[in-house]
Amino acid sequence: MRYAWHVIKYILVFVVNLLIFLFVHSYFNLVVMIVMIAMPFISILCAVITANQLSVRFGGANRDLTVDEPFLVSVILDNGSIFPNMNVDINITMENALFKTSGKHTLCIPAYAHGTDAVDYQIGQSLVGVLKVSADELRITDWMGFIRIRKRCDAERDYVVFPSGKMMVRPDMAAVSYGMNEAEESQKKGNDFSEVVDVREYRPGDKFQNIHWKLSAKKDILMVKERESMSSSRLMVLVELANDDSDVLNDVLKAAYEVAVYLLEEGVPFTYYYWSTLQGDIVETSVDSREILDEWVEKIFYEQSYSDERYGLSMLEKVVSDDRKLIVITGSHSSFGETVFTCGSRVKGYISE
Amino acid sequence: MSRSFSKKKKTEYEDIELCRGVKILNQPEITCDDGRGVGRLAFSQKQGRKAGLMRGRSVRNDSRGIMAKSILEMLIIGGSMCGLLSCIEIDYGALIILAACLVFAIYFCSLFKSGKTWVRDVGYVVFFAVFVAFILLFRRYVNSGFYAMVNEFLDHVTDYYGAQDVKVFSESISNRTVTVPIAAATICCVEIIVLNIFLNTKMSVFWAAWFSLPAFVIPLFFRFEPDGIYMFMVIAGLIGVICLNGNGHYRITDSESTFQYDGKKHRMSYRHSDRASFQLTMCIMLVSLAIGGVIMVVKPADGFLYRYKNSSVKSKIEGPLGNLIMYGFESLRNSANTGGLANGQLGGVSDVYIDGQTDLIVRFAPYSSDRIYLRSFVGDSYDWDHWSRDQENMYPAPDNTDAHPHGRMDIKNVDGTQGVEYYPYYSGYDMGLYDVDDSAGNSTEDSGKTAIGVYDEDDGYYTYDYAPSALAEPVSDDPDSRYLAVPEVNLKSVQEFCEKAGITELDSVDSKIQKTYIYFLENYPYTMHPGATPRDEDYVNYFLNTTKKGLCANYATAGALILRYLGIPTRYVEGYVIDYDEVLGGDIIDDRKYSDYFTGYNELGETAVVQVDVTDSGAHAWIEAFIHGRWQVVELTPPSNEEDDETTEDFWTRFGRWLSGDSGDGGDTTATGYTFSLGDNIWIIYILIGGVLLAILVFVIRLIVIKMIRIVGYHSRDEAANIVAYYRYMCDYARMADENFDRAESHRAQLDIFAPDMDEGERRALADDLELVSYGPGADPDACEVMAKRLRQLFRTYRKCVPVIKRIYIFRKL
Repeated sequence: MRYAWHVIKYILVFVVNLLIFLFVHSYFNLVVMIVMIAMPFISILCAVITANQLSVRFGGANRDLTVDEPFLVSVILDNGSIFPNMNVDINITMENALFKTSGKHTLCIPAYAHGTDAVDYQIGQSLVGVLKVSADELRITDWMGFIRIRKRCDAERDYVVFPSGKMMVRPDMAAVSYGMNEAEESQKKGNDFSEVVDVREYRPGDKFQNIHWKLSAKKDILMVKERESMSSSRLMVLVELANDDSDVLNDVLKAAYEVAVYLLEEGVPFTYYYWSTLQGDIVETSVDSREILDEWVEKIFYEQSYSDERYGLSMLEKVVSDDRKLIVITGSHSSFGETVFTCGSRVKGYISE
Repeated sequence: MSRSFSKKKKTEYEDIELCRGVKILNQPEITCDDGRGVGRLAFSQKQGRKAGLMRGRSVRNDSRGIMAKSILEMLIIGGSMCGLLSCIEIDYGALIILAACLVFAIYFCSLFKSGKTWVRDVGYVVFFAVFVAFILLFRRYVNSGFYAMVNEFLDHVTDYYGAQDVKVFSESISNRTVTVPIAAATICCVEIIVLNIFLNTKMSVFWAAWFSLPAFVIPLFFRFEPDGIYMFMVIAGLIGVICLNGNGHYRITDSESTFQYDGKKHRMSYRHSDRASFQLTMCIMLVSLAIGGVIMVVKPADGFLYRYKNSSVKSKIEGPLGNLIMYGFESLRNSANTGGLANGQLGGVSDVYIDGQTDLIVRFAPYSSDRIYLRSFVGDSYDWDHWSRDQENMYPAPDNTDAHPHGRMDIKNVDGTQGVEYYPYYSGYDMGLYDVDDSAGNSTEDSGKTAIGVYDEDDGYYTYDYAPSALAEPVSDDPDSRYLAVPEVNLKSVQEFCEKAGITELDSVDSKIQKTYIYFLENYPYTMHPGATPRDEDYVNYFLNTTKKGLCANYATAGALILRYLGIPTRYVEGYVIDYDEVLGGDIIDDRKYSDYFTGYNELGETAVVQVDVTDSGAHAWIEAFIHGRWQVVELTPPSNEEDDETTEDFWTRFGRWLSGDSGDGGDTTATGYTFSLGDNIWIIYILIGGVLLAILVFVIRLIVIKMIRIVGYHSRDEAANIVAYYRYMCDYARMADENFDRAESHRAQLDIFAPDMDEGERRALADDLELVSYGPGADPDACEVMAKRLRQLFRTYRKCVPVIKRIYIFRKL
């Protein structure tokens, strides 16, 4: 409608000039008439040339971003032509696949002649995950405002937003440490976190701490405790990727991240599990460092959530038969075991029975 | 009690959610890549730069937007003005005019850029003051320049019509190189003020077209084409406005955010880009010039104008338009204008306006450089306001033998008084009596005599044989005594006139006539606007005693009575005159023989047959006096005087004089310039001053009333209500002084702004008290009084921190 009105106005001016020309038969009005006839074509031609030379890209730091902290999303428009344009509409889509959110809006900016201009959005994201910003189409209006030309473009950029890890969550270590009594004892006796799985004769090179003195006295030969690697004794933590309308998964992931940070700082070895809908399997990751933690979290960002709040646990029980204690981090309100920690009113970590 | 001191929250960018969980934290900005790479952060100026890092140069505050609009305005206004001046080929100082247009445009665009109404208002007031001072100081230059433009235009128009030059405005300063640019720049300034408003608010295509296209219609009508460069300037300006209007994004104000968000359409659109506007304007200019250049090469002006055609509509209105321009609005009246003469009827014409139309077409062989008279009406008896037709009206038959030269004259009545014949001196006529049948069919004697004109039905001409010289008329006896009659009512006036003119009975006939003429010349200026004679006044007495200025009819009538009083028989005659310069301007008719039109001695030699168009300006009244036995033409009407004469002043001249307050005395001139003199038009200044004073008074009264209402609001009997009202005022004040005040949503937050230095406990206590007063059931009056004092003190301290200009602004607003 808006464009039709511009055309009508233009035609009215043209008609006025035409009437004056018919009345006075002047050279001036003839020139005006010719220019007014030629101008729309030139305008459209320039718009076509400009459209072919336009490209969109996104900028701004896309790593090391933290939830609720501002970061920059830059929309950069490059114009290789010598013609400026006042109206370039860019269809921008922002989506977070993990939380199945999507938002579209149109950004209207000018295109400078043979130059680049950018718009910097200062964004605050309250949901962790990968914010995928993409542009699929450009629409250029010609100089006179008569027509719009569409052009497809495929620009996108992912902005990975991590939880803050600001230690809001304090797990109950007494409950957490149940499965670690032997480890703790070993620690006291020399940071040995291994567990005794067998006793054998002494071989040169064995540590004196491992000598089983009682048995050695009985057998009259030196006997040594053979200890197992503690990898099988790491803390097991399951993160339920169940989500609801209130985006409880966001708090779950934040809590899981904060717990992980805490455990890393406390030097507690642990393994994180989650059910991957994409892989159809339980994904297990032993988190020994912050980098591994970040990688693990980022992997989750590309996952899909589910609705059953105990689905992950049910899948884990099928796959992993282990008598060790399992901590489940979930957004469920129901109570299924001893609570290890709570995060706000929605997220809790409990020991699965 | 409602929290009336909280205004509705403005839409902040924090409210915009691009996607669930993703919000914009601050207004986006447009930056341009300055080559320092992507990846750095730039935040809006409100938040400041983060850690000194910048993505690129922010292009928000830029003067290029002003330049773009200013250039468009200069192209339209300056281009049309210079184009108009180039149409009439006048020295005009184009660069000065264009530079002035650009400066004005930049100034007025800048006023809009601030976005603040008070800045704009102050800017206009300041400009108005400067403009008025300029006009007062340079009024003479502006007038002269304007008059020069009008004179030159009229000169071209009269050339187009082949008409006589029309004298219009007098240029007191003749140096057009100075005056024309000044006048043109003044006119452009006014136009730019108007156009600027519409371009800045709506980028109005209508107003841009109005200032560019119709301005050229009148000169183009007369085939005055502007120079090519100005054509393209106007075209470029018009197309530029159309483009910016079509694209939007033309409002430039610093106070607004760069982007605006439409929640319904999910559209984030920038308001304005100075750089883009400027680039687009430049592109439009270059494209217009390029197209124009191609047109001028492919279809040059000369080739087009060679095949110039007139439209039928144009042909029809050419005449009236020319008359309108040359002679003013009165020329548009359809009533046949015969120069104010109406067959002896006198005094009913207040002003005579020449329509310039041809009344008679006369074909003859010129024989003398003297004025030629064509007779129609002769009056013998004067009575109050008219002459009665002289039934005798002719003179003794002229001698048409070879003893005297005689000629032939063909006359066609085109637009003169219809039914009236016009004939030259001394035409032959029918000697006999005409028989006129009465209603009973009986013949009666009637002494009407008329010249013999042979009518040619094919071309509508009457042909008369005439003897040009009075000598061809035989001497006759003294005429009837009625030609000496002076009405009783006029005797005294005529007598006084003769006394003042120093005419006595002892003077000779020639001396009497001469003295009468000289006295008229010196004391009774000729005018085309004598004013109508009141009904209760005698025509001659009113002329001689009251107005002392008049038309030819005034002089002829009064002169006839005066000469009669002096004993010279006279009669009053109306008709047309042909002066020698009109004869010279006539067309030679090659297919007619001189010998058919003139025989005998010709003081001009053997001329040719000439056709002259006699217009209504040739309508005239004179007298015939019986001198030396013959009726002879006597001319008592003084000629036009260039200084005092108003006959050559048309409507425009008189309008211009009235507007300028020029009483015709030329004004005083000093060595440094013109001494401003209002003369009779001082009332204009009184009205202007009165209007300004009235406006100021209304403004002051309104301000006082508003203040009084507010003050009364917090001096009621209810102390709690007073406190609430006063606090509301404080909040309104703070809201205008500090844009962050709206974010304070509680009394405590507001008091943090009012009294940042106050002890926190004290502040909290005051806030609690305010809450109690505002929302509680009631408050102790004494406590209220104390609180009121504290608030006033607090407010007084707060106001001291507000800048003075803002305080003045708030004082005016609240």
